Amino acid sequence: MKLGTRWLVALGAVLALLLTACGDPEAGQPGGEETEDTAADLGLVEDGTLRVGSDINFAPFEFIEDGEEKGFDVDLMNAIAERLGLEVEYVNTSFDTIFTQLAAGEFDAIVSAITITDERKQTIAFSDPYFQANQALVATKGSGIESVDDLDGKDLGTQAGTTGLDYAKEHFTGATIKEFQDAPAGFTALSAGQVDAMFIDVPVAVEQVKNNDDLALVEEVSTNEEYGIGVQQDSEALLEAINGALEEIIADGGYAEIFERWFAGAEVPERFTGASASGSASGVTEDES
Amino acid sequence: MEDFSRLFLDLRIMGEAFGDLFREGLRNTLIVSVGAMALGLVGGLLLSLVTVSRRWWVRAPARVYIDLFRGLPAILTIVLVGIGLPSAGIRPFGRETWAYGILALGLVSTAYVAEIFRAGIQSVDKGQMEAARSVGMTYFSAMRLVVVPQGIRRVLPPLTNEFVALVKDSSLIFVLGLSVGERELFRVGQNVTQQYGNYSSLVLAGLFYVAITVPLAHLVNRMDRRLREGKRLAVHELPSVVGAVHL
Repeated sequence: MKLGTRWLVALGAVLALLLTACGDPEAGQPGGEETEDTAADLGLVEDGTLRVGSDINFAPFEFIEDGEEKGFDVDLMNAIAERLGLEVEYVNTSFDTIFTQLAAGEFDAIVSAITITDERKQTIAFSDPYFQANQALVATKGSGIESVDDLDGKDLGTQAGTTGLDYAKEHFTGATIKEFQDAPAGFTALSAGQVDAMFIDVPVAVEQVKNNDDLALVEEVSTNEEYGIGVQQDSEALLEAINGALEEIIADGGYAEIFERWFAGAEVPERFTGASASGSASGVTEDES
Repeated sequence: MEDFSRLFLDLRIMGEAFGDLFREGLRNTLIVSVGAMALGLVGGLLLSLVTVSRRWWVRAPARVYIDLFRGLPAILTIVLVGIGLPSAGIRPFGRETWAYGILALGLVSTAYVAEIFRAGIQSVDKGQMEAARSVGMTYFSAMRLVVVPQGIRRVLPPLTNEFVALVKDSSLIFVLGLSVGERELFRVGQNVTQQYGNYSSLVLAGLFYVAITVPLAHLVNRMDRRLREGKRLAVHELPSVVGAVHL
């Protein structure tokens, strides 16, 4: 063979090897039928590690500070993983593709202040609810926007893929609705005067207004949303495990502790306190024998 | 492989996405790309003339500009122009996101195009300038009538590269916040992806990009070829002493 040909063959062999190596042997394996709570049966992408996708730009639920993931969702997920004997690996990703990525098997679970909706249930499965929230309208002080009725003809910012966007599209038909890739981008545009208001989950709005003197939360809209942890539709074992851990955390006061850490001064909703008989009404039975 | 077909090659979802991609995405991508291209061509040409100046204090600002706008990632430039300027009170386009997008990409494109034209101009034989000066042209006339036209013709292939890159960079303006009607191809594809939990719409958006860039590239290549082979100068039209030799 000529030298050039030999190089081509070698390159081809290397590429072929790389391609086969890329095929992930464990991706998307559904949970086993056994009810024992061993990590190996949860069908994880990587045994012993819970790979969690999140749009880590949504304080106070998840954000990055000093190179570390922090926030309510982070603490809750860490607590759940600890009870399941797993490590957690957070993967920062864009919110509007997070469901597709989960369905494609890139993550074991997703936690990102995700509202449980029927539409999303077509793509993924949700854990029991772990948070209650509404939407908030934020505007710059002195802008003249006092309520959602003042939005006609204005530019309203939202985050792509969120229920806030869906609500705004349905109810604020007089406004021009702008989608942003993530919440901070929207709030930056609001501060720069490129949109008149932002419509996003209440806790996030509260956090932004806290850090920004020229913004004000002008109205809270009751949407009675519930957040859930997302898993793939065929990850039954993992879902049961997560729900079980969640129930435990709620029952023994761990949830209240995390809640008070991030929402000091607010009251823990009764369904999430250890005081009520069971933390959630899903009827999931304990599967530890 | 089945998973791949299901997630990336779902024809039904592509069908759903087609309408918005064609009417909205394609239109906005073209507007931003062509706008930025136009700015880049004009700005780049002017800037390239500055970079070939014999006076270092004329060249220096141009160099700084080129280094800056080639060095910054395009997405950062877009944010600085689209959000940074308004926050500093500078709002030349009000709230028209696409206008800021064109400006930002035009600034970036100018830097790249300037370098491309510079290479073209400097590749023209020194003899051309000398000959033009020797028949009495000023430096500027010589540049305008002899050197630059030749220089431009030589760099059509690299220019094509730059324009193709520009069309694809137009997908970055989503960062400024787009409303329905303003969305370019990538954003439309992304939205449908989120709606159905399936990447097929993004694949279709990708095909639209190819549908724009491939004819564009072919068009420029054809111009290039015609300029090379079509221009047969008669002997008496050749500048300077070279005219004495029969081709």
